[in-house]
Amino acid sequence: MDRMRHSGINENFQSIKPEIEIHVDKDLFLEKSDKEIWSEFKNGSESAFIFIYDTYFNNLVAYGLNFCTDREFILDCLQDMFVELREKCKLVTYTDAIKPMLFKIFRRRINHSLKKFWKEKEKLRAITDFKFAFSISPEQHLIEKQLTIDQVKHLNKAIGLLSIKEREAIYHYYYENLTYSQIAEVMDYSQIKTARSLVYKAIKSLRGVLSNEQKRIFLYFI
Amino acid sequence: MILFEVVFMSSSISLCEGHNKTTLKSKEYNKHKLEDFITDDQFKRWVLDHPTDKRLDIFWHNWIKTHPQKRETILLAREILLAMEFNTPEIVHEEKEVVLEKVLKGEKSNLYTNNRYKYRSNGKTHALNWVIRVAAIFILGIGIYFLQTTLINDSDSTTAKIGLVTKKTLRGEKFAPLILPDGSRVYLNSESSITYPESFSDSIREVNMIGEGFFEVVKDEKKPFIVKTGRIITHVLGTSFNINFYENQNDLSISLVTGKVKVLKSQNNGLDTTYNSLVVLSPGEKVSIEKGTLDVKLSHFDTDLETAWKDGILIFKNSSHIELFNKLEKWYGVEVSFKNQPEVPWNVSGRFNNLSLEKALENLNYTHKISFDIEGKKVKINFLK
Repeated sequence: MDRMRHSGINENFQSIKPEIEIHVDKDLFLEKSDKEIWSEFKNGSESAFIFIYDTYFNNLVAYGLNFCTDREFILDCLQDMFVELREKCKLVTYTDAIKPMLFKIFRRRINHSLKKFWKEKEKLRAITDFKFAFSISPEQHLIEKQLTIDQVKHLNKAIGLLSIKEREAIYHYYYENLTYSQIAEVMDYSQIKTARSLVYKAIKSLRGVLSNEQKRIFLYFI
Repeated sequence: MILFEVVFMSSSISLCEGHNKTTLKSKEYNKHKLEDFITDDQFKRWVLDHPTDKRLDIFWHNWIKTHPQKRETILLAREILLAMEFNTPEIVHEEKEVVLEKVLKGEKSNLYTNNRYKYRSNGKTHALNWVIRVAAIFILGIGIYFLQTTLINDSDSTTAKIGLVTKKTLRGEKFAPLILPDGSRVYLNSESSITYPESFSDSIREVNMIGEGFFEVVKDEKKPFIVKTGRIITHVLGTSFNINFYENQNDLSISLVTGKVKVLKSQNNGLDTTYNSLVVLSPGEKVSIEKGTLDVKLSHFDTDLETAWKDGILIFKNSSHIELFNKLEKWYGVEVSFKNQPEVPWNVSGRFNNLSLEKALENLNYTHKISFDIEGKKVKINFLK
């Protein structure tokens, strides 16, 4: 999405320059696989690093803010993570999927830093109550006309009852488009089926809300 | 991709997850319940990632045809997938550059050196500053009357000044975040232009605009920010807002999301220009100003509907097919022609979240039967009975 937004449009605004310009010809990398880009980065390519940074920065910030609402803290963690990645690029393992790799490293770093730098009291304040929030948009209902407004309300109530882990798995699967095995990797599960059953159970409990609703309507008619 | 092909030839579905591959016979979809479809990789890919992937599309359409008893379940699964919305935080563009600069210097954060989180007693965080920076959002639309009568004259008289910058977007272009000399940010929608000085004066920040723009204005009480759209002037005291000033629109509207703006009209009596205040807006209020009389009508507005475009979301509410396709023409920069127009105009509502034109039309096709043909910038729509 971000790749799309930046292409083409900015050509008409060449005189507008950000304070630092990122001189990377993105087209060079768009054709390449994650595996190739990552190994170029491991070999010390600065432009591969900047491409990775530029491509995943927003995803990482958005992901991090689900753990802690303090934006400055999340940005600090991210800065440290990238500095270390660059310093230790030779030591980093190979990967053929960059996004889950970064998520995994970032997730560990945030949890570690939260433990290390935050007092319990402070933690309670800034750690989000409603991590990985998502909802069923009532607007969309107007296109497809399958769900009723009431059903949307019930669904959203049920979403609020899901566990944080379930919501995180759903975030990865539907929003970040990771596969179940990538989700298992990010969330440190040894088995893929753990990730899959998190998503499945959550969706099943949502379905439960819908069928209860149908039953209720049915009873009403009886 | 090869796997995909093989799988289809043997009419079974593969869930491919890197090193773990499981192959399902397609008939097992018979037993699928709603949650099985929603969590099925193949199904999700069809709905969310590749609705235009021909093979996937043909597969599912055929499957629905041969399993009509599952049609409702599939439609419901599709809808739930499409309606999922995730809370995403505000994107602050400066952050990316600021952090990158530090990273490239190899500079670590002060998390380790300065244990601010351990000893900070006051609950306020720096994160609040981002909120303070942006104080208001409003939207403004204006018609050709103003354009012809005053804006043209205005710009004639200012062309002599040095250092005016004009930025334009063409049909179908949008989301261009411009940074003004004071650091304020403007997103121009398609077919819009903005003119501003290379550097603002000490006393005022003044820009002229045609079309539609979303402004995030850096707060500076000593230097008011004003947007001129013909005879209407929007005076901002640190704000973000959206202006809509297209030639084919006859009236002007300003909608304020947060903060405070004052709307003025200018009157040119020969030599002198006088300014009169029309209205001061509070958040959630929208003012419409009629082109000739400058009559003011105050109403409330839907934030989403007015500002979603800047995030790449196209929203329409209770639109006829003509209104809808006019919007799509402008959005995607194409020309639409109709065949077999329906006698009763459509009444459609919905939203397209960063969709390609093809994807958008396919989505539309689920509720309103059309066939379409996209050839470069020309789009033919055939309404099916």
